[in-house]
Amino acid sequence: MSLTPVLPRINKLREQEIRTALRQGIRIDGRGFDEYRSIQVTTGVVSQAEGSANALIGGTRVMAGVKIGLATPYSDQPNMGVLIVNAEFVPLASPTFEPGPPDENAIELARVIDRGIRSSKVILLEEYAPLPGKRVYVFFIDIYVLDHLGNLLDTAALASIAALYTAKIPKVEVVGDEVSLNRSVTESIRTSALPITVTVAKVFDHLLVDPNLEEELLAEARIAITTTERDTICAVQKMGSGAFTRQEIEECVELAFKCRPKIEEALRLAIGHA
Amino acid sequence: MQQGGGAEGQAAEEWRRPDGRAADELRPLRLEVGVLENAEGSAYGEQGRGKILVAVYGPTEVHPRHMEHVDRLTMLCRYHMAPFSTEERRRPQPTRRDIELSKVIREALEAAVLTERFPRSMLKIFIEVLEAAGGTRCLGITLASLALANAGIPMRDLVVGCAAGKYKGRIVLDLSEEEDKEGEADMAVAIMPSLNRIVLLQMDGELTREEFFQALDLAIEGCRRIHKMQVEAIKRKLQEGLALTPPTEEKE
Amino acid sequence: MSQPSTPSERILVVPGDQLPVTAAKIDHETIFRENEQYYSTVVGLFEQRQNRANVVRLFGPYTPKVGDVVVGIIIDEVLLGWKVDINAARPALLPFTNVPSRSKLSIGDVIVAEVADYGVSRGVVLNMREKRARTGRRKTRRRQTKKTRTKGRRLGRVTRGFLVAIQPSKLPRLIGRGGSMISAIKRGLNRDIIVGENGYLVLRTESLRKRQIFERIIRIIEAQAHTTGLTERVIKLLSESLSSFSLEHSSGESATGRGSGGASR
Repeated sequence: MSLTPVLPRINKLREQEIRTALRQGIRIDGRGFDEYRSIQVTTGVVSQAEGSANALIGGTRVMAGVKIGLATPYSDQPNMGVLIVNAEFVPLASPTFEPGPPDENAIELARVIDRGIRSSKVILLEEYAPLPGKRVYVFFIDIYVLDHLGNLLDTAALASIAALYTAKIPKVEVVGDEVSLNRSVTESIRTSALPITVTVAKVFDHLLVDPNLEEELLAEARIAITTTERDTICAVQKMGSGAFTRQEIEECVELAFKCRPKIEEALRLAIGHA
Repeated sequence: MQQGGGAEGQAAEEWRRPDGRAADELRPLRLEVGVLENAEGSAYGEQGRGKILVAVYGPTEVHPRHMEHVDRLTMLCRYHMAPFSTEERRRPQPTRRDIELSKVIREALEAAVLTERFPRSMLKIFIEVLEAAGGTRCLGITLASLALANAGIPMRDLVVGCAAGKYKGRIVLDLSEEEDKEGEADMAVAIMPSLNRIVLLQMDGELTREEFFQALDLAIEGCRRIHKMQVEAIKRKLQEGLALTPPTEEKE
Repeated sequence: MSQPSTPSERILVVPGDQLPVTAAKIDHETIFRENEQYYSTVVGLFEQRQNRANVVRLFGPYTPKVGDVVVGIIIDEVLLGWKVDINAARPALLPFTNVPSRSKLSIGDVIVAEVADYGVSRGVVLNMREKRARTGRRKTRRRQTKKTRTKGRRLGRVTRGFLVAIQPSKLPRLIGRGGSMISAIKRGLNRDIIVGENGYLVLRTESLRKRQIFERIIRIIEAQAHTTGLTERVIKLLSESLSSFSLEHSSGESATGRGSGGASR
């Protein structure tokens, strides 16, 4: 069940201001249409988690924690480890977040990030099934929004990947039918896939990357495109009740690849890859 | 300086806790005011390994309307822990413990806030534990009080919390998670320091009457030390603003 | 250039700090008394002037007073009038009877109105007619002082300009003693500024660059309201920002504010 959301309204002066600025080729905060706000990623921020990261895009702040344990696999995928991505839009992050279970936005965000991780094969879940059908690794990625200033998706995706990359995965010990995790012997993720999500908002027919809070409220629609280091697209999600033309989709894909390097740089700085 | 209860003299002075602290020593504490952009007031703190973020929203209208008070403020307080905050992953849904803590924390803060100033309005306080390490309700209250001050909510006094307890027979200050789990008793205390009033007091475990008051006094002493750091944190926040226009021009 | 500092006759206090009150009168909003002692209720600067002690707030919401001229945003239409966001705990009511008949208002409009009535429990009633509506109390002398200060600010809908918010507690600093700060900013930007006493401001310009400069100044005032020498620093910042700006624009601003000016930071 999904209801049309009630969102804060922007006053007319402000809307006029934004429209005029966009017509002049500039955004309200001085950025170009293809420009991200400043990006900062830090890892190892919470020690109870096997992996953790904090990502900041402009003022938007999202934390992600990776917890690793053992679980029974899904019956239709007995040879695969389990990945669960969960997002909490906690009320402290925005006056628009209510306490309670994840709403449709939090659920959508978590699922889009999950798809990006699975499709890009950042983590090969087949390699994490020590006792197929009985006991496999379970990876929890918990996304915690701390301050919402627009574009939660890209920020959350960054935090999640950084947390996953720096997670210390405990080695497993199999003794007959018993499996246990040895948390003092750990290894890192084995791949080098790097999915990066770029969100583009359509505001008064202009395509803007990394929308801030107001641009998000005024956007008729948004699209999130996750690309890989292999020059492929591994996840796409259109959001909002407006529409894109095919031409616009092409431009958005262009923008996603164009903006990738800067985001990748910030990410690699944090996870320590050359 | 208070010594641990029970033992006296040199033996007591040499006794160290698992993390190396003396009986009356606080864990390293860091307090920061005004860290979030959306919230009217906010604060972040680290105590040992514990990490807590607090936000205050308001005063705003009350929703649902029937929760309104015609002559005073309605306070909403939510204590919540992140799934990755504990050793075993925690489900995000509130537990009975979360609900109880939300209540006692709200009551402690309401004692300080001048609630008659904002009739028919609501104040929301959100305490998010990002990493748990014993004493979270006390640190939560200390930070909530800072966030309220940051939001400009008028209060009789700041509120500050600190825990004490009994571990291996001695009365100790600021229990770590290990001491909390394996100790004989633990006591959470919060006070309004200038007015000298206790606004939160919870204890569980077993203590003789003498030990009870030793722990209480030790906790209060701990509160006073933390209070000094609260005041410093507020002043430091105001100092930060000066960095926007230093003598040499900066780039924004 | 000396480091900014807190003026010596004012002490920085936090809630619960005991105050050395010697004055006969105290501001009950910011100071409370118990057992012969006085304590601050807020973070601010304690001062005693003309036998009155009070704490100048550094943080906190807007507290409405009858006669205040405010800038508001219409957020809803109800049976008796418009609900208006005035940056206070609750929205205000602008009764239809307090709106000039020729005005066409709708949700989203930005307006300038005065606080005609205020009760701590019943809330704020606004008036947008130039002549005061007959609601609530009269404080004639106070009204006159307000009129002088706002220079007979016209009430009504605002159709152009930039809406910027400043923390209401920092407004006195934005205005400055005798209006010195706000006049300097208006002169520097060469534009009028509508100052709502609720912390909502409207800068009457279409230049993005001037708006960016204005916003930056607001943030600095918010961060340094408790220091000395702020007016000088703001004036210096104004002239520095504008001189780099005017290098790109030889004449004043054009009617449409061409895009090239926007490319700078």
